[in-house]
Order: sequence, then structure tokens, then C-alpha cells
Amino acid sequence: MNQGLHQLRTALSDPFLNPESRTYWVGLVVFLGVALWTQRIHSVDPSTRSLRSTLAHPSSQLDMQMLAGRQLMRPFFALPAWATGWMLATHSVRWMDAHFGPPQALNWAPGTVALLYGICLFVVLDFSRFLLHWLAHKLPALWALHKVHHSAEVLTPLTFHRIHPLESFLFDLRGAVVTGGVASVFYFFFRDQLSLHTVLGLPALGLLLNLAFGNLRHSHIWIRFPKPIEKVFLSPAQHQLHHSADPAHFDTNMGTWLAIWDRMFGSWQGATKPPTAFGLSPAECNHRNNLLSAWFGPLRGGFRWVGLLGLLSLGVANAEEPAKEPAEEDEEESSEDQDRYGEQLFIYEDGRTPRVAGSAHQVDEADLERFEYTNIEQILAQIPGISTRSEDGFGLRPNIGIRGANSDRSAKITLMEDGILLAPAPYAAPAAYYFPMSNRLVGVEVFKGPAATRHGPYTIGGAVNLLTRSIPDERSAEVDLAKGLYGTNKLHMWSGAQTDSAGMLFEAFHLGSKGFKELDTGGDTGFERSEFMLKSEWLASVDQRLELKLGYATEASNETYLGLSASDAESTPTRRYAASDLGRMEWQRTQVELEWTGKIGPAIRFRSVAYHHFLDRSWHKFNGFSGGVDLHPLLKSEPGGQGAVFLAILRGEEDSFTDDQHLQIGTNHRVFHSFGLQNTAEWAVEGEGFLSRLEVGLRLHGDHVRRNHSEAPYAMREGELESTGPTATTLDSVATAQALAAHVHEDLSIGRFHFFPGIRLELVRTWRQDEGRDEALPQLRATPLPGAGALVELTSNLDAFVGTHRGFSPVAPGQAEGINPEKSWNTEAGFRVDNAISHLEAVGFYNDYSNITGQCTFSAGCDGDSVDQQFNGGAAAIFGAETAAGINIGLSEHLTLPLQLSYSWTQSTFTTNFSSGFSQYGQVQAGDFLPYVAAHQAHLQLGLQHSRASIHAGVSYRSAMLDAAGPLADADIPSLVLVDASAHLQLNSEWSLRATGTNLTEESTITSWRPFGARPTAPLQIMLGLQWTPHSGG
Amino acid sequence: MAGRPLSWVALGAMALVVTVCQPDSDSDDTGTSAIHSPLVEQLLADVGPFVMTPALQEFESTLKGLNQALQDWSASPMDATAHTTAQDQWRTSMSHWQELEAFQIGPAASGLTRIGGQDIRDEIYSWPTINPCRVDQNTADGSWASADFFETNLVNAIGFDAMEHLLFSDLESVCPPQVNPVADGSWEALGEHGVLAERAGYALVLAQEIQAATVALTTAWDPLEGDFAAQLTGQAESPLFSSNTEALDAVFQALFYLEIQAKDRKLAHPMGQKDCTKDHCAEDLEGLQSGESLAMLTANLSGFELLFTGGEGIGFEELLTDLGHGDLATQILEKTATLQDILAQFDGSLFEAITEGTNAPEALLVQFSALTELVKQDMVTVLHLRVPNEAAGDND
Repeated sequence: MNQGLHQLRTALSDPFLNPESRTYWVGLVVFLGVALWTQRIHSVDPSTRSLRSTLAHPSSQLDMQMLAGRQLMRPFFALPAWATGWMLATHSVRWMDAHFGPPQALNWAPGTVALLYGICLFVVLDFSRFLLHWLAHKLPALWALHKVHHSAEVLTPLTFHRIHPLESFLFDLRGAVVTGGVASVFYFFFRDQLSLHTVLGLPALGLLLNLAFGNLRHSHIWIRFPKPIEKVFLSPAQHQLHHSADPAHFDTNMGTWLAIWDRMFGSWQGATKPPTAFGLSPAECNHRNNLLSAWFGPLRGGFRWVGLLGLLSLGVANAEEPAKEPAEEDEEESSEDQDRYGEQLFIYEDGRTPRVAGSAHQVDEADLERFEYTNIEQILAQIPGISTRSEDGFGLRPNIGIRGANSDRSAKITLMEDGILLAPAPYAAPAAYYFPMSNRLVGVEVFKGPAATRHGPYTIGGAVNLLTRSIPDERSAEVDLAKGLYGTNKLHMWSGAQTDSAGMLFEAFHLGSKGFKELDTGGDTGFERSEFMLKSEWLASVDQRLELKLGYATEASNETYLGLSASDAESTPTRRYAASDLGRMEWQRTQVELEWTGKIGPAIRFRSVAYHHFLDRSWHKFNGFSGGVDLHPLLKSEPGGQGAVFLAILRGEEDSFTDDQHLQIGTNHRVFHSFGLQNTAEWAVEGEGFLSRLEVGLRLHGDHVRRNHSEAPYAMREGELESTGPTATTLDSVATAQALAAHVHEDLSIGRFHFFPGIRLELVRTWRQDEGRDEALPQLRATPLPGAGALVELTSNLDAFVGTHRGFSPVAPGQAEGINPEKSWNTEAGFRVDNAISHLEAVGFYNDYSNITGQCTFSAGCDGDSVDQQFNGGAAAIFGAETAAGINIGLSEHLTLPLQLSYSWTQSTFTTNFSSGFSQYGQVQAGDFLPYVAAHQAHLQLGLQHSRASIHAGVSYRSAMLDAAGPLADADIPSLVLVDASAHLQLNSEWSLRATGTNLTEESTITSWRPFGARPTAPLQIMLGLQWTPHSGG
Repeated sequence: MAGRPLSWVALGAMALVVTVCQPDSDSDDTGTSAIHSPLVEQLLADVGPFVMTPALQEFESTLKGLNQALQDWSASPMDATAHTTAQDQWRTSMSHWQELEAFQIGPAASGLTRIGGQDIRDEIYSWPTINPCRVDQNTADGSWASADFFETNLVNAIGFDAMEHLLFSDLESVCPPQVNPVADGSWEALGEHGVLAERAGYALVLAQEIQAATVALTTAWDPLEGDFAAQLTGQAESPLFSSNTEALDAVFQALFYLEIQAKDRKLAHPMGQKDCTKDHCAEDLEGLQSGESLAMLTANLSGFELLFTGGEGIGFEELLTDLGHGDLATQILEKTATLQDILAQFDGSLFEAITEGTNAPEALLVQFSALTELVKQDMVTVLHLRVPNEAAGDND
């Protein structure tokens, strides 16, 4: 009993006896002193003319009830033990010690560290309070809780405790996380100067302010600061405005001490005159002035909120579309653009001219639909500066490089889908074994200049952002069916709708083919690919939007790494050797992304995306001979001697007799996880003569790949594969990467001048654990990647720009010491002309590599122990010029003639002599050209477009390329000209027909010598399709 | 206006953070070291005249005897003496060739793995790439006599290894029952005389082709013809090697025959210690049918020694001495001599020793490893040369 009373007494007295409490008795004494001194305690509400009447007011009664209730219910709402600042700090420090190791000692004076810590903690705590408070005003669910605090009609120091228990819990949790986080960082770096206890006990500045001004904030004592000070520190009067019942004061001054947050978020308001009343209107209030109502009233809205989510998940596509006023539609459209911030990375000044730092290109939905390419390589051929290495002819696993960056598995470019990293494990294993089918994309964006620093980590070449379909503004759907040669069939359908508060889109895509290659054994060489995407969004308010994106994709393809010998590629280019009979790739991918976008005030747009991508792939295929014969030269040079015997075995013409001649066929099973939280915010400030857009980004990312490779020997017997031994594991490893990437990018426009300074910081920690080997030490690298660009509007249609940035691609996990990241300085200059019917862009660039790297992969033609090894390639210079132009010539009112042309000239040379184990480099002399970079690439597209029908033709040219570094004269991949065409006929308002033809001239040549052997061009393909676009709302 | 200074403050703060973070070094490790000794050029110049050419001449001289013996056997297939004489001549020629096996430099070497390789060695002797069933098929259908035989057949049915099968195997075909010539009865139809007659004729054709390949190899090294020696010394009009170091590396890699073939393929594999999933793979021994397994290893060592010493010219022995590593050269030669002694004193056949599980093969393998480690580790370190890919990652 005594103990119970003691606990009760402690609970009720704690708010007044705990120095950390806002209502600590010393603070209350200060408050009373100020009140008596000012004698203006009843300045606002006539009903609060005395302390007694003030305390007797029903609102104050509820304050006291809430305080008592909260204290009594604290055992139920207290933070769990793990969520205290102490526990979080302790665990954080242990985690950092384990993963990063103790840092180098920083011998700063303890006093300096303590002061720095105090300031940091004060600022971060203040911001976190502001942020949560701001959310409490912006998110309906939180606002329902926060109304309890704002329903106070009389403000007293006790009003501070008038907080709903759930909200109180959130604020406590916030405090613990922030305190623990800041304390752990300081203790981690300054443990010699400070103890953890010390840093946790140092929120001194906040306590002092609490004592001096804290209780005045919830009072009727009108104390304001001089305006310059109020722009830095919020005065008690400003907080009283925040509680004002006047709508003009709603959602203002949400900070606690510092005014900077409100100024950034556009919610700052100076204290001019006291408000006439406090509290909420009866319509707004969700409870009465009693404890139970205040506790449970706000939860009724929460139940509705849960119900809304359920409704959304049942499918809003069936919801009736409400009629909209034109003005309302415009407003929605506008907010739509803002809410999509971050997905589409292009910034358009006037709807046409890209206003980005340096060269950037976009293929929009209309361009994509023109040829309905199923192969992304064909789409990218339209963009200057991009090189691709074809492998399977369908683009299932494209190899994309930008401005000379190695194209192998697109691992040297930052690949994104809707602005989120796309590769299976972007840091630990960036090889793009998954790539979305291009038919379901609605846009492709490519960034090559300083804008690439916004989209790391691979800034060496640039970034490619693939845009998926957005949830449509109104109910709409589309079904697209097509059939083509080689048993190719395509089904693409999507349907979506949006109401005032929610939206949904479902998309399904399937592409299948029997394949154009002919296996010696008569087997299938085709594939089946299916992709599904579900997007659902909740428009929380005009400025706030939540989107859940779910994706599932799967593929089964009879693909192999084995190509052809030179003579077979010439005589039977579509042949596939008997040794590749068992080749089969199977994978499944899931994608979950939760995105929150919105605006904070008029000036700030933000996007925060939590993502998790999972890929499980198994590739069963021929890897090589047991005797270790190097397949690449075997197929390329077709030697005599024993080499000819091995070649005959691949073809099934000779049997395997010795162990060396057995074929190693195995499964490379890899499981990838990629997850993280990506946040970007843009703060736009417009003043007289200038416009500043400051983008700040922070990405916390983790990924890892589990490689489980196995092999079994097979013998070739009478043209068929026969298992001859047990399966053995050849690799069992886990490679992991953790990355913290931050960037700041400014877009400052002053008159006709635009400046784009920016910097990116990549802090990457990687490690790899191979089964049976000693644990490798983690490697931690911090790399700053600055960049800057400038653009001047010479005329209303003519811009000139220049830019430079640091190119970078990180070191893969588990590499030997001495292997360095790929680094370069990339510089470019150019101009753009743009008017209503035409555009022209010309850019010159110079990429100065201090270290170019090569990564051995199976797809790069490596095998055995060299797989996954990275190689330094020394210095290299890649320079060239790119141009893209287009014009729409109006022939008549309904007939236009669109013409597009792009051309790129690239010189890519090593500037040092070196010897490399990477087969694409080998013995390199200064002046040797880089492999798989064409000196000349061009694309011409011509069309005739009518409102009901259109025809287009495209011609792509690529000059000869090298398969391995050397003089360009030795180029062994012939030049290539491909001609494509398409025709489109609109039958009526809903139905249309489309015919596409690719490689119409049936060009047949070698497009690549890798992974093993010659790869042919895809043969003539003709597809006929029928598209149904039902009437909107029908 | 308020936003602009703040923008710059944020940028400045970021710059401060990254300034604290030290950037990584841009140094690379792509440099290669070259050894500096006047003897390098001399060694490269001497490989042709003092190592390759004399050995080739000796080998070529034995081919005449082999050719004659095969002609005799071909004329009298049932003549056991002629058959035995042909077998003995094969052993003699093979003994010389096994010395040359260690000289897989340039034209003799594989076009896949060696600069200037023309695969001529495989045309003479392609072991272990042999398809005895294909040899039996050629024997049965008489295709060996056709004019385009060598254009239509691969090295697994020609050369000394195919000839060993023709000369030493018993009268049964090695092909499985479901495969011709067993399946269609054509082998059975030949009878003993037919088999021996076809084999003798086939062997003679092979000997003539070996002769032609040997001439091609000799010509490739002839200073008045192919002059590959000029390639090694960088005197050729179209140089294959970019530097003396690369040329020296090509010669040095020939020494690895002892590691890759002699030690691993001819000893460790049959003993079941490398790439063998059974207790042993003695049936994969080289020279199993002729019983020459040990003699072949002995000849390989002689070839290795000749290339190492340079014969009458400058070899790696002098080069190492000149570089101050005479003790390493001495060690290598001592271990070579030790191995030769062990081989000379080896009791019985290697096949029996392996299948019966005696200790002798293991002792032999240990000594081979001791010698090849000196080449693979010490010489590579001292001469800054590289281990061929086939031997990399295979430390014992």
C-alpha cells in the first residue's frame, strides 16, 4: 500500500520535480515571476481574468485531467526498454564498432566536444520536434490526435501536458531516437574525451530555454522578441499565435525554439498582435472537455482511416468518377505534377527544353510507342553517347554503357526505375540481371553530365531512369495484343483509376517467343517473361500523397553464355551448339516500394521512398571445359590442334574422351536483396531576379548477394550431353554492401544565367564472405563527388552550357587490396536550340579517367577463378561529340513529317601501358582503344504522321568495335546498319492496329564476341498488333 | 532572398564534410617490372640455335628409321618382327619427341594460349587429346588412305598418340558395342590380318604426316625461313612480342610443361590426386600401351634441363647466376638430377606402382613438386615473370 502511494505520488509529482520537464518547479517560479511582473496574465480572454478563474476553466480542467491521466497510464504508454536513449546509444555504438571498427582518435578538448555535442543535440532535437509537430498538423491521422492539444481554449503551463497518450508516445520515441542517435555518434568518435553517460546528460541548452521561456509559450502572457530575433528564435507570443483560433494563424509557427524550420517550411509568422481566441471550432473538434472523450474521440477518425485503406485495397477502379469542375481539374493536375516529384528526374523549363546540369535526353511515351520496341537496346540506340552490346537478341539482359563506360551487364551506370535504384544489388553486385521489359515503360531518361551526381553511385558514365506508368487521373485502360515471327506473342494490359482521395493502377505484361536460334539438338531457345505491377495511392491532402508500388516479374528463358565460332557465325548465325542444350535461366523478382511525396509549405517538395527489391535467379548453363580451355579465343580464333577437338565437342561432332574434354555445366544460383530509404527534398526560393532550387538527398541503402554456384561434369556422346559425375559446389559466398549517399544540388537561376553546383558523398562499406575462406575485412570508402554546371540563355531559344563532375564507380566487395574505384573527371560543353517545331543539341565531352576498371564476369567472357575479380586499368581518356536534332514539318493541317537525327563520335583510348588479367584489356599500349565502344553511332528516324495513321522508319548505324583493347584498325566487330519501320492505323476511337518490323534488310553480322563466342544480330522480326483503348470512364 | 544564403550554407557544410573525408588514392598497380641483364637478349637469341634446332634435328633423324620400319610392317602386317621393330622405332622417336615436348615455344605451342602458337606440336603428338575409338573407326573404314584424311580429321586421330594405339593395342576395338565399327560388324569383318594391315597402313600415313609437321616446325625456326628466333629477339619485321620481357616470358612458360603436364597430368592425375573422382586414374597414364610412362617423364626432364641450361648457349642457368641467384640455378639442376636418379631406379611400371598403391609414385610426385615449386615461386619472383594461367592458383 505504501509502495503504491509512493508510486502514485511520484507519478503525479514527476512533471514538477523532474528538471527535464517543461513544468519543472523552477520554471514555474520563473513563469509566475514574469507573470506578476508583466501583470498581463489575462491579456487575451476576458474569462481568464484571474488565476483561479483560469484554472477553473473547463479547458484547464481537461489539461489537469490529461496530465494526471497520462501520468497514471504511463506504464501502458511508456517506451519499451530498448527504446530509451541509453539503450539506443549503447547498441548503436556497439554496432558501429563491430562494422566500422573504432575510428581514429580525434584528440579534441573535452570542453569543445561537450559544447559541440550540446549544440548538435539542441539543433537535432529541435528539428525532430518540429518535424513531428509538422506531421501532426499535416497527416489526418496524427492531426486527429493533435487536436486534443489544440482544443485548449485557455493556455496555461499545464496545457503542455494536454497531449493524447499516443501522441505523447510518439514524441517520447522521437526524443529517445534522436538523443540516442546523436549521443552514439559523438561517443563513437570522442569516446576518449567523453563517457556515454556524459553525452547523454548534456541537453543543457534546451533545459535552460525551458526554464526561461518554456512555460510562457502556453500562457496568455504576450511576450514577443524583436523581429530579427523572432526570425532566429520563436518567441512565446509566436507559439500563442500557433494556438490561435483564427484560421489565418492555422499551421504557423510549429517549431519549439529555432525559427529556421518554420522559415524553411514556409510556416513562420511574426508576432504582431495577440490572438483574440484560442482553440478549435466546434466542427473541427473531435472530443469534449473530458478525459475519456479526449482519449477516445480522436480514435474514431483512425478507425475510418483504417477502413479507407481497406476500401482502397478492394479496388478503387470500380469507384464512380465524380464529375469535376474545370478549375478543380487544373488544380489537381498541378498538384499531381508536384506530387510526382522525384520519379521523373527531368526538369522542364517550358515543357520542351530540359533544364538540367549538362546533357540529358528523354525518350517519351510517344517515342516508345512509335516502334513498340521490346528490346531496350533498340530504344537507347536513339540517344547519342550510349553504347550497347547485344547478347541474346531480345534485350533480356542488356549491356548498356555511356560515353565509354564499360557496358557489361549495365553495371557502370546508375540504373533506376522511377528514380529508385533498380539493379539487383546496386553496390555489391550491380550487374543488371533484371531489366524491365521496355514495352511497359512510358519514358526513358538519360543523364550524362553533372546532373549524374544527383543519381549515384555510378556517376562515371551517367544515369538511366526508366519511368513506369503512373496512376491515371481518370479511369482508363488499355489492352495490347501482338503476334510476330518465331512464335513471338505479346500481351500488355493495364487499368487504373483515381478518385479524390485514392487511386490504383494494375499492369500486366507478357512476352514470349520460341526464339530465333536453332539448337543442334532441336531444343527450344525461346523465353517467357511476365511482369506485373500494382500501384495504389492515397492522396492524404492536396499536398500529401502516399503510394504503394508492388511488382512481380518472372522469366524462364533457354539462354546460354555460349556463342558461335567465327566460321559458324558466318555460315549459320542462328545456330546454337549442342553444348548449350541445357542452358536455362529462371528468375523471380519482387518489388515493394512505399513512397511519400508532398509539399511542405509553398516552397518545399519532398519525396521519401522505402524500397525492397528481391531477385532470385538461377542460370543453368555450360560454363567451360574441365580442362580449363579458354573458350573466348577458342571460338574466336578457331585454332587447329587440340583446340579444334574442343570446338568439335561443343558442336557435338566429337565425343568427350579425356577428363579435360568433359563439359562443366552448372547452376549459378544467386539471391539478391536491395533495400533502403531514399529521401529527396527540393526547396525553391524565388526572389527578385533569382530562383533557387536546392535539392538535398539522403539515401540509406543496403544490399547483398548470395552466390551459390555449382557444377557437374558432362560428356558429349553422339551429340548429346550425358552426366558423368556428381555436382560440386564451386562458390558459396555472400557479398554485402552498406551505403550512405548524400547529395546537395543547387539550381540557381539569376536572369539568363543558371548555375548547377552540386556534390555527392558516397560512404560505402563492403565485405564478402566466401565459404571455406577466412572472413575478409570490411572495406570502408568515403568518396566525395563534386560537380558543377552552368547554362546561359543566349536567346529565348538558344542555351549554351558547360559542366564538369567527378565520375565514380565503387569497388565491388571482396576485391584485393590495391584495387581502386573507377574515377574520372568528366567535362562537357554544348548548346541547345529549341523552338515549337524543332530542337538541336550538340555537346562535346572529355572524360579523363585516372583509373578505369574492368570487372570479370561470366558475361564479360571470364571464367574460373577470375570471375568477380576487378582489375585496375590505369588512365584513359574518352572524348567526343554528340548531337541530337529533331523537327516536325507540318505538311498540312493533319499531316506532319517528324524527323529525328542523333550522332555521336567517341574516341576512347588508354593513356598508359599495362598488362591486365581482364580479358577485355590484356596487354594494353597507350593509345589503344577501349573495347565495345564504337567511334561512330548514328540514328535517323523519319515519319509521316496523320491523325488517324502514321508510318515511321528508323535507321541505326554503329561503326566497327573492338572486342578487346587495341588499335582501332583491329576492330573485329563489324559495323552495323539496322533498318526498322512501323505503321499505325487508328480504326476508330477505341481500336487501332500496329505493324512493326525490325532489321528489315536482314542484316546478319557479329554484334559481340562475349560472353563466349560470336553473337549474331537478331534477324528480321515482324509483329502485328491490335490495341484497344476503351473510352475513359467507360 | 532568405533562401539563397541558406542554400550556400548547406553547400558549404557539405563541402566541409567531404573535405574531412580523405579521397582514395588514385594509384594503380598496372606497372610491370623488367629484368635488366644483357644475358636476356643472348638467351633469347640462343634458344633457337642451341636448344630447339639441335633437338629437332635429332628427332627428325629418328623419323627416317620409324618410317622405314612402318613401311616394312605395312608390307608384312602379320610379321611379328616387323611389328616389333616398328614399335621399337616408335619408342626411339617418342623418346626424342618427349624432350621436345618441353620446348612448346612459338610455332609448336598452342595457338590459344601462346604468342605465335601454331599448334604444330598437336599435329605431331596431341596427348592427352586422343580418341582411340575414332582411330578404330578410321582403321575400319580405311579413310586414313583418302587424300583429304588430314583435312577431315582432327588431331585426336593422328600423330604419335594415335600411332601408339595402332602399334600397341590389342586386336579388339575400344569403341562401345553400340558404336561403329563394332555396332555394324565392320571391325569384326576385318579379322586379324585386316586389322593389322589397316593399322600398319594407317601408322605409315601418320608417320609421313609427322615428318611433314616436323619439317614445318624446323622451317619455322630456320633463320632462312620462318626465323622464329628473330621474333624472340625482336628482329622480325612484324614482331609478335612487344618487349624482351614478353619474349622471355614465352620461353619461361615452356618450363611449366614440367608443372602442368609432367607433374599434374602424367603423375598427380593418374595417382588420383588431381581431377580424378576415383581412387586413381591410372588408366589415363601417358604411354600406358607402350609401357613408356617413366621413359617419357625422364625425357621430359632432359628437355627441361636443356631449355634451362640453354645447351651450348645461354640459358636460364646463366641468367639467374648473372642476376645473383646462382644458388637457385644450382638447386634446380640438383633437383632435376635427383629426379632423374629416382626415375632411373624406379622399380617396375608406373601403372603397377599406382594400382598396387606403392609409395614410389608419391615419392616421385614429391620430388617433382619440389622442383616445380622452385620454378613457379622462386624463378617467377626473381625474374619478374608470370605464371601461365593454366598453372595459376594451383599451389600445392
